[in-house]
Amino acid sequence: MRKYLATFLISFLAVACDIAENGEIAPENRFSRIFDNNEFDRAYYVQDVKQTADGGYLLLGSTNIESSSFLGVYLMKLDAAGNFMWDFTSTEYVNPVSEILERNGQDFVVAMTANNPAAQLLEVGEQTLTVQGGALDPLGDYPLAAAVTSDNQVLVLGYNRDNRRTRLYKTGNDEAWEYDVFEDTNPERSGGILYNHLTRQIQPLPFFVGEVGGSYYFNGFNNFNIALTFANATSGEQTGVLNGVRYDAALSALEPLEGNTFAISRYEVDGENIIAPRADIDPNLEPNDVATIQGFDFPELTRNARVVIRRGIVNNRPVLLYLSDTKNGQIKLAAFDEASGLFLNSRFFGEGNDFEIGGMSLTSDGGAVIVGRTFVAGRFPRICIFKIDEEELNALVP
Amino acid sequence: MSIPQRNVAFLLMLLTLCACFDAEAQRKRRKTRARSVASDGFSDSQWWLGFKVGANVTQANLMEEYQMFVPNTTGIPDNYKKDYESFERPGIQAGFILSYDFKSIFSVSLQPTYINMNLGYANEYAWVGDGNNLAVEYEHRVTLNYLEFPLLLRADFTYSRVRPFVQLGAFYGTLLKADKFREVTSFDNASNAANPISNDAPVIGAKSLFINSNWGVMGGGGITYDFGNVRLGLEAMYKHGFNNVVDRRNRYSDNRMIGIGDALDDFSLQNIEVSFTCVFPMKFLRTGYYRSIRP
Repeated sequence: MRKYLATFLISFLAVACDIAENGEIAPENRFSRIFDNNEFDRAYYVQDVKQTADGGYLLLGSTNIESSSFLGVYLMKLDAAGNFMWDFTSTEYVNPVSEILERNGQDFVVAMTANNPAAQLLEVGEQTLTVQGGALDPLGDYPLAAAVTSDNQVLVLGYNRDNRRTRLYKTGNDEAWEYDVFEDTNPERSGGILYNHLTRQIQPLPFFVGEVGGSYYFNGFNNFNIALTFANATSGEQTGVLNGVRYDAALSALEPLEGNTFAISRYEVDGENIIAPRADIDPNLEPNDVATIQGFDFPELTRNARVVIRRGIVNNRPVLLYLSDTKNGQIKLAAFDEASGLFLNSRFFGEGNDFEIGGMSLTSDGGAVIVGRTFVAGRFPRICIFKIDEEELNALVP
Repeated sequence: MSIPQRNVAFLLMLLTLCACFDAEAQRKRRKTRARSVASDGFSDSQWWLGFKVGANVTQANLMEEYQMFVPNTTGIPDNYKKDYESFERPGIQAGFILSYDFKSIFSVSLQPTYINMNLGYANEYAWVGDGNNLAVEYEHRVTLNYLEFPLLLRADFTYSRVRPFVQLGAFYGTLLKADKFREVTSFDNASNAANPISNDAPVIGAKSLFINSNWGVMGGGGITYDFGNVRLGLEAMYKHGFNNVVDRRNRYSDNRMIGIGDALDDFSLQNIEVSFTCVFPMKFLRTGYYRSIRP
């Protein structure tokens, strides 16, 4: 009998290791949440997430407000385990255009005032948004994108509704640089594409702005297209441009790598998406077409898909992480080797109800956090978040 | 119960009945009392081999709550938490019994058992707007199938043919299969629906949502009746699992679960099972006819 008992106990210990391993997973390592409330007519959008100093997460998004046809800035704070701490809906500031930016250790966003299109630099506090200085642009452009430059200033891409010009301006700089007329848009008319973009009546257009080497670049209205434009960082003079096809074909995301090499994604006139993890683009190039950038077709992505690109070291390897929406309503996270551009692996998030991307950030524990929105009960747009730990992220990079 | 399970149960019952009738027939034919046998060690103990079949009910013992849907406002009803059923959904179990009787009231037995357990929980959500209302009830069911290895110490109250007994022990179960199923009932005033609308979601394989192990203690009692050489019994057992059976690593990794907005809580299992048992002696004395040893 002792033999049987010993065999039983040994077998028990051998197979029951999963009980001990199961206890090692902390709630903050992996979680998913869908933030819901009982408001039938409420719609949420989310565009960025950032890990905060306390290990928690700050989400930036927007939501419908009664006082404006634009979307009010929406902030949400979570603890490290993804539990809701507080949220804040601004009726004073609308249409956040940037990611969550950081300058001098302070988080801020760029949005516009609800009663006129002046861009504002807004400091993020606990359930507050405080204006830093005056309006960024006294001319009253619609702000479309913003980024922090290497000299710690804020670079803003705007569109002036009066002279119908794209303008680039930054804090600490008195003048704004104007670019070619984009005459096809009348933001005062509700049918105008820009107005529809700002009020989220269409899929958001891929405006972005940034700095590479001694140039600024922006993806915005230029030369009758949504074009990638390079400008001298000192004079603002346009040095190169990659034209889209009206707003039917354009770059959807760009991340500078080294020199003139960029990780990009673009969509074509037929809505299909091309990903080029290593594309060579000369900032001083003669006007050219975005279609000249060769890449890989990703037919599973939605028409004119939104794309977020992040660089990171995963599994001791520099990688590019592409986040986008799929035609079957999932969020796709794809990893590419940064050095070779080789596709490594992918993972999908969500199923059933549609899931759409918002933003992504790598976390201090070696994992990543992804925000997006889903349609609860098939109809209510709500913010969702996925946190994966280092082990899960490493699985993307064999 | 599926067709193969029904067949196995039927065969086991048939086998038992045959064995009982055969033993009882021998007993009636040969009235001669068995001669006393000098104790030589052989008759100090007895091995029994048999089977058990029965039904059970299960309840989740909540350890830590987790939710996929989290309210981002205050002041709405806290109906996001799961409302668990309490020993409501029946399951079945069937297994073998290997028992060893000491020369005392005590015996030990190992009972490898296949057990099918069912448990359920529900959530309710509601959305309210200007003239628009939607209420949704989600009813979730989880089916867990384990191969369990209970090790029990049993004490009989009497030495008669009818023996009440109690038994205590521990068990270890390894997960064979797990499924999850959700039924949705909506009250959709917004779409002008007058009556509740029910939809069934397909059953999804959920083995990855649970760890392999489930262990705990068990105790209960019953009664046996010696029918010839065969010992028939009816027993009731309560089993109390100690470990969290939900796999924390995979709580949020299944996209189908994310799609339906569900995340499993941490819970252990509580189970009540009632079984019919039938065991056959392995050691006999040849005394003109075969008489099993009753130490």
